[in-house]
Amino acid sequence: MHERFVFYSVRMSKIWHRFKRQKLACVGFVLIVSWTLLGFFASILAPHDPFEQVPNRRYQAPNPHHLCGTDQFGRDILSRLLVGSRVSLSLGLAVTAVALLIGSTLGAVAGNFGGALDAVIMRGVDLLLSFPVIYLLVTGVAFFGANWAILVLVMGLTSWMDVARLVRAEILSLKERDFIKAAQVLGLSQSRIVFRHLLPNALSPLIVLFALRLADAILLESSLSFLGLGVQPPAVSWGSIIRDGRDVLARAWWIVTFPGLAIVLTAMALNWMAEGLRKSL
Amino acid sequence: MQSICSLIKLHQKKAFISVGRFSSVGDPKNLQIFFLMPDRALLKIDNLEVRFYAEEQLENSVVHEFNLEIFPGETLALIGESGCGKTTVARAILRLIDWPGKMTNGEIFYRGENLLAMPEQRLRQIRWKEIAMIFQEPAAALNPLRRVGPQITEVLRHHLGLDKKAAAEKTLHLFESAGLPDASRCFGAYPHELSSGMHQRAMIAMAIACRPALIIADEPTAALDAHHQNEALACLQRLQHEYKMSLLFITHDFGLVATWAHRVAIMQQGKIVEAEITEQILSQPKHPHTKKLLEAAQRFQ
Repeated sequence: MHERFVFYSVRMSKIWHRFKRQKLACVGFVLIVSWTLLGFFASILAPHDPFEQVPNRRYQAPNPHHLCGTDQFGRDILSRLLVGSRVSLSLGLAVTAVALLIGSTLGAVAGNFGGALDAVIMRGVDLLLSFPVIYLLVTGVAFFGANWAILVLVMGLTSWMDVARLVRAEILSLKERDFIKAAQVLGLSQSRIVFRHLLPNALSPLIVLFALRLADAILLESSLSFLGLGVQPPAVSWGSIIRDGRDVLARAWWIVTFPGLAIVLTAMALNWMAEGLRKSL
Repeated sequence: MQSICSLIKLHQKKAFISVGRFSSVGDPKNLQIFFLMPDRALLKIDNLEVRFYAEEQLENSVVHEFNLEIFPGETLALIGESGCGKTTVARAILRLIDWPGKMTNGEIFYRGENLLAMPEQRLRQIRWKEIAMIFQEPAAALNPLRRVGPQITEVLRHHLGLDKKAAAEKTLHLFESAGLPDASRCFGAYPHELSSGMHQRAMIAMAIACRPALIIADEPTAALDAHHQNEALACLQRLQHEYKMSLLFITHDFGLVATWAHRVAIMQQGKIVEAEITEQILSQPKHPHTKKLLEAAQRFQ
Protein backbone atom coordinates (compact mmCIF):
# COMPACT_ATOMS: atom_id res chain seq x y z
CA MET A 1 0.00 0.00 0.00
CA HIS A 2 2.75 2.38 0.97
CA GLU A 3 4.64 1.53 -2.20
CA ARG A 4 1.61 2.29 -4.31
CA PHE A 5 1.23 5.65 -2.71
CA VAL A 6 4.85 6.51 -3.40
CA PHE A 7 4.52 5.69 -7.11
CA TYR A 8 1.33 7.67 -7.34
CA SER A 9 2.76 10.72 -5.62
CA VAL A 10 5.91 10.63 -7.76
CA ARG A 11 3.76 10.81 -10.88
CA MET A 12 1.60 13.59 -9.50
CA SER A 13 4.58 15.57 -8.29
CA LYS A 14 6.13 15.47 -11.77
CA ILE A 15 2.96 16.92 -13.27
CA TRP A 16 2.75 19.51 -10.53
CA HIS A 17 6.39 20.43 -11.01
CA ARG A 18 5.85 21.11 -14.71
CA PHE A 19 2.61 22.96 -14.01
CA LYS A 20 3.96 25.35 -11.42
CA ARG A 21 6.74 26.56 -13.70
CA GLN A 22 4.12 28.18 -15.91
CA LYS A 23 3.18 31.52 -14.41
CA LEU A 24 -0.04 32.17 -16.31
CA ALA A 25 -1.33 28.71 -15.54
CA CYS A 26 -0.66 29.27 -11.86
CA VAL A 27 -2.42 32.63 -11.95
CA GLY A 28 -5.39 30.90 -13.58
CA PHE A 29 -5.34 28.16 -11.01
CA VAL A 30 -5.25 30.62 -8.12
CA LEU A 31 -8.09 32.65 -9.64
CA ILE A 32 -10.28 29.58 -10.10
CA VAL A 33 -9.59 28.29 -6.62
CA SER A 34 -10.32 31.68 -5.09
CA TRP A 35 -13.56 32.07 -7.06
CA THR A 36 -14.62 28.65 -5.89
CA LEU A 37 -13.82 29.47 -2.28
CA LEU A 38 -15.52 32.87 -2.55
CA GLY A 39 -18.62 31.25 -3.98
CA PHE A 40 -18.57 28.56 -1.35
CA PHE A 41 -18.35 30.98 1.55
CA ALA A 42 -20.44 33.67 -0.14
CA SER A 43 -23.01 33.78 2.64
CA ILE A 44 -20.32 34.64 5.20
CA LEU A 45 -18.22 36.89 3.00
CA ALA A 46 -20.98 38.94 1.39
CA PRO A 47 -20.95 42.36 3.05
CA HIS A 48 -24.70 42.86 2.47
CA ASP A 49 -27.78 40.79 1.81
CA PRO A 50 -27.65 40.25 -1.96
CA PHE A 51 -31.43 40.17 -2.28
CA GLU A 52 -32.36 43.01 0.01
CA GLN A 53 -33.80 45.97 -1.90
CA VAL A 54 -33.06 49.33 -0.27
CA PRO A 55 -34.77 52.17 -2.13
CA ASN A 56 -32.60 54.93 -0.73
CA ARG A 57 -29.30 53.46 -1.91
CA ARG A 58 -30.18 52.91 -5.58
CA TYR A 59 -27.56 53.58 -8.26
CA GLN A 60 -24.63 54.15 -5.94
CA ALA A 61 -21.30 54.28 -7.71
CA PRO A 62 -18.55 52.13 -6.20
CA ASN A 63 -17.67 53.51 -2.76
CA PRO A 64 -16.11 52.19 0.44
CA HIS A 65 -19.49 50.88 1.64
CA HIS A 66 -20.42 49.21 -1.63
CA LEU A 67 -17.18 48.32 -3.35
CA CYS A 68 -18.87 47.52 -6.64
CA GLY A 69 -21.79 49.92 -6.26
CA THR A 70 -25.50 49.14 -6.13
CA ASP A 71 -28.11 48.46 -8.79
CA GLN A 72 -31.45 50.04 -9.58
CA PHE A 73 -33.12 48.27 -6.65
CA GLY A 74 -30.42 49.24 -4.20
CA ARG A 75 -28.91 45.75 -4.00
CA ASP A 76 -25.20 45.44 -3.33
CA ILE A 77 -23.42 44.32 -6.52
CA LEU A 78 -20.43 42.74 -4.76
CA SER A 79 -22.67 40.53 -2.64
CA ARG A 80 -24.65 39.57 -5.72
CA LEU A 81 -21.44 38.77 -7.56
CA LEU A 82 -20.31 36.45 -4.79
CA VAL A 83 -23.60 34.64 -4.55
CA GLY A 84 -23.96 34.62 -8.33
CA SER A 85 -20.62 32.85 -8.73
CA ARG A 86 -22.24 29.82 -7.11
CA VAL A 87 -24.77 29.43 -9.89
CA SER A 88 -22.32 30.31 -12.64
CA LEU A 89 -19.58 27.97 -11.50
CA SER A 90 -21.75 25.06 -10.40
CA LEU A 91 -23.85 25.24 -13.54
CA GLY A 92 -20.71 25.39 -15.66
CA LEU A 93 -19.23 22.44 -13.83
CA ALA A 94 -22.36 20.33 -14.10
CA VAL A 95 -22.87 21.14 -17.77
CA THR A 96 -19.27 20.24 -18.52
CA ALA A 97 -19.58 17.00 -16.60
CA VAL A 98 -22.70 16.03 -18.54
CA ALA A 99 -21.06 16.97 -21.84
CA LEU A 100 -17.95 14.99 -21.00
CA LEU A 101 -19.91 11.97 -19.92
CA ILE A 102 -22.06 11.85 -23.06
CA GLY A 103 -19.26 12.91 -25.38
CA SER A 104 -16.64 10.48 -24.16
CA THR A 105 -19.03 7.53 -24.06
CA LEU A 106 -20.31 8.12 -27.57
CA GLY A 107 -16.85 9.00 -28.87
CA ALA A 108 -15.36 5.86 -27.35
CA VAL A 109 -18.11 3.69 -28.78
CA ALA A 110 -17.75 5.25 -32.22
CA GLY A 111 -13.98 5.00 -32.20
CA ASN A 112 -13.83 1.49 -30.86
CA PHE A 113 -16.49 -0.25 -32.88
CA GLY A 114 -16.19 1.71 -36.10
CA GLY A 115 -18.28 0.78 -39.08
CA ALA A 116 -21.93 1.74 -39.30
CA LEU A 117 -22.22 2.68 -35.61
CA ASP A 118 -19.33 5.08 -35.99
CA ALA A 119 -20.87 6.61 -39.10
CA VAL A 120 -24.26 7.08 -37.42
CA ILE A 121 -22.81 8.69 -34.29
CA MET A 122 -20.41 10.97 -36.09
CA ARG A 123 -23.00 12.12 -38.62
CA GLY A 124 -25.25 12.85 -35.65
CA VAL A 125 -22.44 14.97 -34.25
CA ASP A 126 -22.12 16.82 -37.56
CA LEU A 127 -25.85 17.39 -37.61
CA LEU A 128 -25.95 18.80 -34.09
CA LEU A 129 -22.92 20.96 -34.74
CA SER A 130 -24.59 22.52 -37.75
CA PHE A 131 -27.38 23.97 -35.57
CA PRO A 132 -26.65 27.26 -33.84
CA VAL A 133 -26.49 26.09 -30.22
CA ILE A 134 -28.26 29.14 -28.88
CA TYR A 135 -31.44 28.29 -30.83
CA LEU A 136 -31.43 24.78 -29.47
CA LEU A 137 -31.04 26.19 -25.98
CA VAL A 138 -33.81 28.73 -26.43
CA THR A 139 -36.12 26.01 -27.72
CA GLY A 140 -35.21 23.68 -24.85
CA VAL A 141 -35.71 26.31 -22.19
CA ALA A 142 -38.95 27.49 -23.80
CA PHE A 143 -40.32 23.94 -23.67
CA PHE A 144 -39.08 22.76 -20.33
CA GLY A 145 -38.65 25.89 -18.23
CA ALA A 146 -35.49 27.31 -16.78
CA ASN A 147 -34.60 25.68 -13.51
CA TRP A 148 -31.09 24.56 -12.66
CA ALA A 149 -31.47 20.90 -13.60
CA ILE A 150 -33.18 21.60 -16.90
CA LEU A 151 -30.52 24.14 -17.80
CA VAL A 152 -27.77 21.63 -17.04
CA LEU A 153 -29.44 18.99 -19.12
CA VAL A 154 -30.22 21.22 -22.09
CA MET A 155 -26.79 22.81 -22.13
CA GLY A 156 -25.06 19.48 -21.57
CA LEU A 157 -26.97 17.87 -24.40
CA THR A 158 -25.91 20.60 -26.81
CA SER A 159 -22.23 20.76 -26.00
CA TRP A 160 -20.90 17.20 -26.03
CA MET A 161 -20.11 17.05 -29.73
CA ASP A 162 -16.53 18.22 -29.77
CA VAL A 163 -15.78 15.98 -26.79
CA ALA A 164 -17.03 13.04 -28.83
CA ARG A 165 -14.83 14.05 -31.75
CA LEU A 166 -11.76 14.37 -29.57
CA VAL A 167 -12.29 11.09 -27.77
CA ARG A 168 -13.01 9.25 -31.01
CA ALA A 169 -9.79 10.55 -32.54
CA GLU A 170 -7.81 9.58 -29.44
CA ILE A 171 -9.33 6.11 -29.37
CA LEU A 172 -8.63 5.60 -33.04
CA SER A 173 -4.95 6.30 -32.55
CA LEU A 174 -4.73 4.36 -29.28
CA LYS A 175 -6.38 1.35 -30.83
CA GLU A 176 -3.39 0.78 -33.07
CA ARG A 177 -1.02 0.73 -30.12
CA ASP A 178 0.39 -2.62 -29.12
CA PHE A 179 -0.96 -2.69 -25.60
CA ILE A 180 -4.51 -2.61 -26.90
CA LYS A 181 -3.70 -5.50 -29.22
CA ALA A 182 -2.12 -7.20 -26.23
CA ALA A 183 -5.29 -6.68 -24.22
CA GLN A 184 -7.23 -8.28 -27.06
CA VAL A 185 -4.82 -11.19 -27.12
CA LEU A 186 -5.51 -11.63 -23.43
CA GLY A 187 -9.11 -12.33 -24.34
CA LEU A 188 -10.52 -9.27 -22.60
CA SER A 189 -14.00 -8.14 -23.58
CA GLN A 190 -14.54 -5.04 -25.68
CA SER A 191 -16.15 -3.06 -22.89
CA ARG A 192 -13.30 -3.89 -20.54
CA ILE A 193 -10.75 -2.78 -23.09
CA VAL A 194 -12.60 0.47 -23.71
CA PHE A 195 -13.08 1.43 -20.07
CA ARG A 196 -9.93 0.02 -18.49
CA HIS A 197 -7.36 0.51 -21.23
CA LEU A 198 -8.56 2.95 -23.88
CA LEU A 199 -10.35 5.72 -22.01
CA PRO A 200 -7.82 6.14 -19.18
CA ASN A 201 -5.13 6.67 -21.80
CA ALA A 202 -7.22 9.36 -23.47
CA LEU A 203 -7.59 11.18 -20.17
CA SER A 204 -4.98 13.92 -20.45
CA PRO A 205 -6.43 15.64 -23.52
CA LEU A 206 -9.84 15.22 -21.87
CA ILE A 207 -8.70 17.08 -18.76
CA VAL A 208 -7.50 19.97 -20.91
CA LEU A 209 -10.76 19.97 -22.81
CA PHE A 210 -12.61 19.94 -19.51
CA ALA A 211 -11.06 23.26 -18.49
CA LEU A 212 -11.81 24.79 -21.89
CA ARG A 213 -15.39 23.52 -21.92
CA LEU A 214 -15.90 24.86 -18.43
CA ALA A 215 -15.03 28.34 -19.67
CA ASP A 216 -17.41 27.90 -22.60
CA ALA A 217 -20.19 26.67 -20.35
CA ILE A 218 -19.84 29.66 -18.03
CA LEU A 219 -19.95 32.01 -21.00
CA LEU A 220 -22.95 30.20 -22.42
CA GLU A 221 -24.80 30.38 -19.13
CA SER A 222 -24.09 34.09 -19.00
CA SER A 223 -25.44 34.61 -22.49
CA LEU A 224 -28.56 32.65 -21.62
CA SER A 225 -29.09 34.61 -18.44
CA PHE A 226 -28.46 37.80 -20.36
CA LEU A 227 -31.28 36.85 -22.72
CA GLY A 228 -33.46 36.16 -19.69
CA LEU A 229 -33.49 32.42 -20.35
CA GLY A 230 -31.07 31.42 -17.64
CA VAL A 231 -31.78 31.11 -13.95
CA GLN A 232 -34.90 33.09 -13.06
CA PRO A 233 -35.08 35.79 -10.40
CA PRO A 234 -34.66 35.92 -7.49
CA ALA A 235 -31.83 33.44 -8.19
CA VAL A 236 -28.80 35.32 -9.39
CA SER A 237 -25.94 34.53 -11.71
CA TRP A 238 -23.30 36.70 -13.37
CA GLY A 239 -25.24 36.80 -16.59
CA SER A 240 -28.44 37.87 -14.86
CA ILE A 241 -26.69 40.77 -13.12
CA ILE A 242 -25.56 42.00 -16.52
CA ARG A 243 -29.10 41.68 -17.82
CA ASP A 244 -30.36 43.76 -14.89
CA GLY A 245 -27.86 46.45 -15.69
CA ARG A 246 -28.08 46.50 -19.44
CA ASP A 247 -31.00 48.98 -19.59
CA VAL A 248 -29.25 51.47 -17.35
CA LEU A 249 -25.80 51.07 -18.82
CA ALA A 250 -25.44 54.80 -19.56
CA ARG A 251 -26.46 55.72 -16.04
CA ALA A 252 -24.68 53.05 -13.99
CA TRP A 253 -21.70 51.48 -15.74
CA TRP A 254 -20.68 49.48 -12.66
CA ILE A 255 -23.67 47.14 -12.69
CA VAL A 256 -22.57 45.62 -15.99
CA THR A 257 -18.84 46.08 -15.63
CA PHE A 258 -18.08 44.01 -12.54
CA PRO A 259 -19.93 40.82 -13.44
CA GLY A 260 -18.53 41.23 -16.95
CA LEU A 261 -15.04 41.37 -15.50
CA ALA A 262 -15.76 38.32 -13.37
CA ILE A 263 -16.84 36.34 -16.44
CA VAL A 264 -13.88 37.46 -18.49
CA LEU A 265 -11.42 36.73 -15.69
CA THR A 266 -12.85 33.29 -15.02
CA ALA A 267 -12.95 32.28 -18.67
CA MET A 268 -9.42 33.56 -19.16
CA ALA A 269 -8.16 31.85 -16.02
CA LEU A 270 -9.65 28.58 -17.21
CA ASN A 271 -8.01 28.95 -20.59
CA TRP A 272 -4.65 29.67 -19.00
CA MET A 273 -5.08 26.72 -16.75
CA ALA A 274 -6.00 24.48 -19.67
CA GLU A 275 -2.91 25.60 -21.53
CA GLY A 276 -0.78 24.87 -18.49
CA LEU A 277 -2.35 21.44 -18.08
CA ARG A 278 -1.82 20.68 -21.74
CA LYS A 279 1.86 21.34 -21.36
CA SER A 280 2.35 19.50 -18.10
CA LEU A 281 0.20 16.40 -18.51
CA MET B 1 27.39 -22.66 -48.06
CA GLN B 2 29.31 -25.24 -46.16
CA SER B 3 31.05 -22.64 -44.08
CA ILE B 4 27.92 -20.94 -42.93
CA CYS B 5 26.38 -24.19 -41.85
CA SER B 6 29.35 -25.04 -39.74
CA LEU B 7 29.31 -21.53 -38.34
CA ILE B 8 25.68 -21.78 -37.41
CA LYS B 9 26.19 -25.18 -35.90
CA LEU B 10 28.94 -23.77 -33.77
CA HIS B 11 26.58 -21.05 -32.68
CA GLN B 12 24.04 -23.72 -31.96
CA LYS B 13 26.40 -25.59 -29.69
CA LYS B 14 27.23 -22.46 -27.76
CA ALA B 15 23.60 -21.71 -27.20
CA PHE B 16 22.99 -25.21 -25.99
CA ILE B 17 25.76 -24.87 -23.52
CA SER B 18 24.39 -21.58 -22.32
CA VAL B 19 20.97 -23.04 -21.59
CA GLY B 20 22.45 -26.13 -20.00
CA ARG B 21 20.05 -28.89 -19.15
CA PHE B 22 17.33 -27.62 -21.45
CA SER B 23 19.32 -28.37 -24.54
CA SER B 24 17.25 -31.41 -25.41
CA VAL B 25 14.45 -29.12 -26.61
CA GLY B 26 16.52 -28.36 -29.63
CA ASP B 27 16.79 -31.97 -30.63
CA PRO B 28 14.55 -32.29 -33.65
CA LYS B 29 14.65 -36.07 -33.76
CA ASN B 30 12.11 -36.38 -30.98
CA LEU B 31 9.64 -34.39 -32.94
CA GLN B 32 10.23 -35.41 -36.50
CA ILE B 33 7.57 -38.01 -36.20
CA PHE B 34 4.88 -35.35 -35.98
CA PHE B 35 5.77 -33.92 -39.33
CA LEU B 36 4.62 -37.05 -41.00
CA MET B 37 1.17 -36.79 -39.48
CA PRO B 38 -0.60 -33.74 -40.82
CA ASP B 39 -3.77 -34.46 -38.85
CA ARG B 40 -1.82 -34.03 -35.65
CA ALA B 41 -1.29 -30.37 -36.44
CA LEU B 42 -2.12 -28.02 -33.60
CA LEU B 43 -2.67 -25.09 -35.90
CA LYS B 44 -3.33 -25.32 -39.58
CA ILE B 45 -3.38 -22.23 -41.74
CA ASP B 46 -5.08 -22.94 -44.99
CA ASN B 47 -4.84 -20.68 -48.02
CA LEU B 48 -4.91 -17.49 -45.94
CA GLU B 49 -5.24 -14.19 -47.69
CA VAL B 50 -5.05 -10.78 -46.05
CA ARG B 51 -5.62 -7.59 -47.96
CA PHE B 52 -5.08 -4.00 -46.98
CA TYR B 53 -7.29 -1.37 -48.49
CA ALA B 54 -5.28 1.80 -48.67
CA GLU B 55 -7.81 3.67 -50.78
CA GLU B 56 -11.07 2.86 -52.45
CA GLN B 57 -9.60 1.34 -55.57
CA LEU B 58 -6.15 0.52 -54.38
CA GLU B 59 -6.01 -2.75 -52.55
CA ASN B 60 -2.94 -4.58 -51.56
CA SER B 61 -2.76 -8.27 -50.90
CA VAL B 62 -0.16 -8.60 -48.17
CA VAL B 63 -0.55 -12.29 -47.47
CA HIS B 64 -1.89 -14.75 -50.02
CA GLU B 65 -2.01 -18.48 -50.60
CA PHE B 66 -0.44 -18.89 -47.21
CA ASN B 67 -0.32 -22.45 -45.89
CA LEU B 68 1.37 -23.49 -42.68
CA GLU B 69 1.07 -26.15 -40.03
CA ILE B 70 2.30 -26.04 -36.47
CA PHE B 71 2.65 -29.27 -34.54
CA PRO B 72 2.35 -29.80 -30.80
CA GLY B 73 5.55 -29.10 -28.94
CA GLU B 74 7.55 -27.84 -31.88
CA THR B 75 9.35 -24.59 -32.41
CA LEU B 76 8.63 -23.25 -35.84
CA ALA B 77 10.58 -20.28 -37.06
CA LEU B 78 8.93 -18.04 -39.61
CA ILE B 79 11.64 -16.14 -41.42
CA GLY B 80 11.32 -13.44 -44.01
CA GLU B 81 12.55 -9.99 -44.85
CA SER B 82 10.88 -6.88 -43.46
CA GLY B 83 7.46 -6.20 -44.93
CA CYS B 84 6.84 -9.68 -46.25
CA GLY B 85 3.80 -10.14 -44.00
CA LYS B 86 5.18 -12.04 -41.02
CA THR B 87 3.50 -9.86 -38.43
CA THR B 88 0.31 -9.80 -40.45
CA VAL B 89 0.18 -13.59 -40.31
CA ALA B 90 0.79 -13.54 -36.57
CA ARG B 91 -2.01 -11.08 -36.06
CA ALA B 92 -4.32 -12.89 -38.43
CA ILE B 93 -4.05 -16.06 -36.36
CA LEU B 94 -5.60 -14.28 -33.40
CA ARG B 95 -7.93 -12.25 -35.61
CA LEU B 96 -6.32 -8.98 -34.67
CA ILE B 97 -6.47 -7.50 -38.15
CA ASP B 98 -8.58 -4.36 -38.13
CA TRP B 99 -9.81 -2.23 -40.96
CA PRO B 100 -8.21 -1.23 -43.39
CA GLY B 101 -6.85 -4.76 -43.24
CA LYS B 102 -9.16 -7.63 -43.97
CA MET B 103 -8.88 -11.39 -44.11
CA THR B 104 -10.44 -12.07 -47.46
CA ASN B 105 -9.86 -15.75 -47.83
CA GLY B 106 -8.70 -18.89 -46.09
CA GLU B 107 -9.16 -20.75 -42.87
CA ILE B 108 -7.14 -21.13 -39.71
CA PHE B 109 -7.88 -24.30 -37.80
CA TYR B 110 -6.95 -24.61 -34.19
CA ARG B 111 -7.55 -28.19 -33.06
CA GLY B 112 -10.15 -28.53 -35.78
CA GLU B 113 -12.00 -25.30 -35.01
CA ASN B 114 -11.91 -22.52 -37.54
CA LEU B 115 -10.61 -19.43 -35.72
CA LEU B 116 -11.76 -17.10 -38.46
CA ALA B 117 -15.37 -18.24 -38.38
CA MET B 118 -16.00 -18.72 -34.68
CA PRO B 119 -18.07 -16.27 -32.62
CA GLU B 120 -16.27 -13.57 -30.65
CA GLN B 121 -17.24 -15.28 -27.39
CA ARG B 122 -15.45 -18.52 -28.23
CA LEU B 123 -12.48 -16.66 -29.67
CA ARG B 124 -12.03 -14.84 -26.37
CA GLN B 125 -11.73 -18.18 -24.63
CA ILE B 126 -9.03 -19.30 -27.02
CA ARG B 127 -7.04 -16.11 -26.95
CA TRP B 128 -4.43 -16.23 -24.20
CA LYS B 129 -5.68 -19.46 -22.65
CA GLU B 130 -4.85 -21.52 -25.72
CA ILE B 131 -2.90 -19.19 -27.98
CA ALA B 132 -0.83 -16.43 -26.44
CA MET B 133 1.27 -13.81 -28.13
CA ILE B 134 4.45 -11.93 -27.36
CA PHE B 135 4.85 -8.64 -29.13
CA GLN B 136 7.70 -7.06 -30.97
CA GLU B 137 7.92 -4.00 -28.77
CA PRO B 138 7.56 -5.20 -25.21
CA ALA B 139 7.48 -1.65 -23.88
CA ALA B 140 4.53 -0.75 -26.10
CA ALA B 141 2.60 -3.88 -25.19
CA LEU B 142 2.08 -2.80 -21.59
CA ASN B 143 -0.52 -0.22 -20.69
CA PRO B 144 1.57 2.81 -19.71
CA LEU B 145 -0.95 4.02 -17.15
CA ARG B 146 -1.20 0.89 -15.05
CA ARG B 147 1.26 -0.92 -12.84
CA VAL B 148 2.73 -4.04 -14.36
CA GLY B 149 1.51 -6.46 -11.72
CA PRO B 150 -2.13 -5.40 -11.59
CA GLN B 151 -2.32 -5.56 -15.38
CA ILE B 152 -1.71 -9.26 -15.11
CA THR B 153 -3.73 -9.92 -11.98
CA GLU B 154 -6.69 -8.21 -13.59
CA VAL B 155 -6.73 -10.74 -16.38
CA LEU B 156 -6.11 -13.65 -14.06
CA ARG B 157 -9.01 -12.64 -11.88
CA HIS B 158 -11.25 -11.95 -14.82
CA HIS B 159 -10.46 -15.13 -16.73
CA LEU B 160 -9.65 -17.73 -14.13
CA GLY B 161 -11.86 -16.39 -11.36
CA LEU B 162 -9.00 -16.14 -8.88
CA ASP B 163 -9.40 -13.85 -5.90
CA LYS B 164 -7.15 -10.86 -5.46
CA LYS B 165 -4.58 -12.50 -3.24
CA ALA B 166 -4.28 -15.71 -5.23
CA ALA B 167 -3.92 -13.73 -8.46
CA ALA B 168 -1.17 -11.60 -6.96
CA GLU B 169 0.65 -14.68 -5.72
CA LYS B 170 0.36 -16.36 -9.07
CA THR B 171 1.64 -13.25 -10.83
CA LEU B 172 4.67 -13.07 -8.55
CA HIS B 173 5.31 -16.72 -9.17
CA LEU B 174 5.07 -16.16 -12.94
CA PHE B 175 7.47 -13.24 -12.71
CA GLU B 176 9.93 -15.42 -10.91
CA SER B 177 9.68 -18.24 -13.40
CA ALA B 178 10.15 -15.77 -16.24
CA GLY B 179 13.34 -14.70 -14.52
CA LEU B 180 12.33 -11.19 -13.53
CA PRO B 181 14.79 -10.01 -10.92
CA ASP B 182 13.18 -8.50 -7.84
CA ALA B 183 9.71 -9.66 -8.78
CA SER B 184 7.88 -7.89 -5.97
CA ARG B 185 9.30 -4.52 -6.96
CA CYS B 186 8.38 -5.04 -10.60
CA PHE B 187 4.87 -5.94 -9.51
CA GLY B 188 4.18 -2.44 -8.25
CA ALA B 189 6.15 -0.57 -10.89
CA TYR B 190 4.82 1.36 -13.86
CA PRO B 191 6.09 0.18 -17.25
CA HIS B 192 8.28 3.26 -17.68
CA GLU B 193 10.17 2.33 -14.54
CA LEU B 194 11.37 -0.98 -15.97
CA SER B 195 13.99 -1.76 -18.60
CA SER B 196 13.02 -3.31 -21.91
CA GLY B 197 14.52 -6.62 -20.86
CA MET B 198 12.18 -6.56 -17.87
CA HIS B 199 9.25 -5.61 -20.08
CA GLN B 200 9.89 -8.61 -22.26
CA ARG B 201 10.07 -10.91 -19.28
CA ALA B 202 6.85 -9.49 -17.92
CA MET B 203 5.25 -10.11 -21.31
CA ILE B 204 6.58 -13.66 -21.33
CA ALA B 205 5.20 -14.15 -17.82
CA MET B 206 1.84 -12.87 -19.01
CA ALA B 207 1.88 -15.10 -22.06
CA ILE B 208 2.59 -18.31 -20.19
CA ALA B 209 0.17 -17.63 -17.34
CA CYS B 210 -2.46 -20.06 -18.61
CA ARG B 211 -0.04 -22.60 -20.02
CA PRO B 212 -1.18 -22.02 -23.59
CA ALA B 213 -0.68 -24.69 -26.21
CA LEU B 214 0.82 -22.21 -28.64
CA ILE B 215 2.81 -19.05 -28.20
CA ILE B 216 3.24 -16.68 -31.09
CA ALA B 217 6.41 -14.69 -30.58
CA ASP B 218 6.55 -11.82 -33.03
CA GLU B 219 10.20 -10.82 -33.19
CA PRO B 220 10.32 -10.85 -29.40
CA THR B 221 13.97 -9.95 -29.28
CA ALA B 222 14.16 -7.27 -31.94
CA ALA B 223 14.09 -4.48 -29.36
CA LEU B 224 16.67 -6.05 -27.07
CA ASP B 225 20.46 -5.98 -27.07
CA ALA B 226 22.44 -9.15 -27.66
CA HIS B 227 22.82 -10.00 -24.00
CA HIS B 228 19.13 -9.62 -23.15
CA GLN B 229 18.25 -11.32 -26.39
CA ASN B 230 20.03 -14.48 -25.32
CA GLU B 231 18.57 -14.35 -21.85
CA ALA B 232 15.02 -13.87 -23.11
CA LEU B 233 15.45 -16.68 -25.62
CA ALA B 234 16.85 -19.05 -23.03
CA CYS B 235 13.96 -18.17 -20.78
CA LEU B 236 11.41 -18.81 -23.54
CA GLN B 237 13.09 -22.06 -24.44
CA ARG B 238 13.13 -23.25 -20.86
CA LEU B 239 9.48 -22.40 -20.32
CA GLN B 240 8.50 -23.99 -23.60
CA HIS B 241 10.19 -27.16 -22.52
CA GLU B 242 8.66 -27.02 -19.06
CA TYR B 243 5.14 -26.41 -20.27
CA LYS B 244 5.40 -28.40 -23.51
CA MET B 245 4.12 -25.56 -25.65
CA SER B 246 4.42 -24.98 -29.36
CA LEU B 247 6.16 -21.85 -30.42
CA LEU B 248 5.75 -19.87 -33.60
CA PHE B 249 8.85 -17.75 -33.63
CA ILE B 250 8.80 -14.89 -36.10
CA THR B 251 12.11 -13.32 -36.97
CA HIS B 252 14.37 -12.14 -39.74
CA ASP B 253 17.50 -13.37 -38.02
CA PHE B 254 18.69 -16.73 -39.30
CA GLY B 255 21.39 -17.03 -36.67
CA LEU B 256 18.87 -16.80 -33.86
CA VAL B 257 16.68 -19.48 -35.30
CA ALA B 258 19.32 -22.00 -36.22
CA THR B 259 20.13 -22.54 -32.59
CA TRP B 260 16.84 -23.94 -31.49
CA ALA B 261 14.00 -24.07 -34.01
CA HIS B 262 12.88 -27.52 -35.09
CA ARG B 263 11.55 -26.30 -38.35
CA VAL B 264 11.99 -23.22 -40.44
CA ALA B 265 9.46 -21.68 -42.81
CA ILE B 266 10.76 -19.13 -45.27
CA MET B 267 8.38 -16.42 -46.33
CA GLN B 268 8.61 -14.15 -49.34
CA GLN B 269 6.10 -11.51 -50.35
CA GLY B 270 3.21 -12.97 -48.42
CA LYS B 271 3.83 -16.59 -49.28
CA ILE B 272 5.66 -19.55 -47.81
CA VAL B 273 8.34 -20.55 -50.27
CA GLU B 274 9.98 -23.31 -48.29
CA ALA B 275 9.24 -25.08 -44.99
CA GLU B 276 11.65 -27.71 -43.78
CA ILE B 277 13.43 -29.13 -40.79
CA THR B 278 16.11 -26.71 -39.70
CA GLU B 279 19.06 -28.97 -40.52
CA GLN B 280 17.68 -29.53 -43.98
CA ILE B 281 17.23 -25.84 -44.69
CA LEU B 282 20.69 -25.02 -43.48
CA SER B 283 22.45 -27.76 -45.40
CA GLN B 284 20.33 -27.99 -48.54
CA PRO B 285 18.30 -24.87 -49.17
CA LYS B 286 16.14 -25.39 -52.23
CA HIS B 287 14.43 -22.11 -52.94
CA PRO B 288 16.57 -19.26 -54.27
CA HIS B 289 15.11 -16.91 -51.70
CA THR B 290 16.24 -19.19 -48.88
CA LYS B 291 19.71 -19.25 -50.35
CA LYS B 292 19.69 -15.47 -50.55
CA LEU B 293 18.66 -15.12 -46.93
CA LEU B 294 21.32 -17.58 -45.86
CA GLU B 295 23.94 -15.74 -47.82
CA ALA B 296 22.86 -12.48 -46.26
CA ALA B 297 23.24 -14.03 -42.82
CA GLN B 298 26.67 -15.28 -43.80
CA ARG B 299 27.81 -11.92 -45.04
CA PHE B 300 26.57 -10.34 -41.86
CA GLN B 301 28.43 -12.73 -39.66
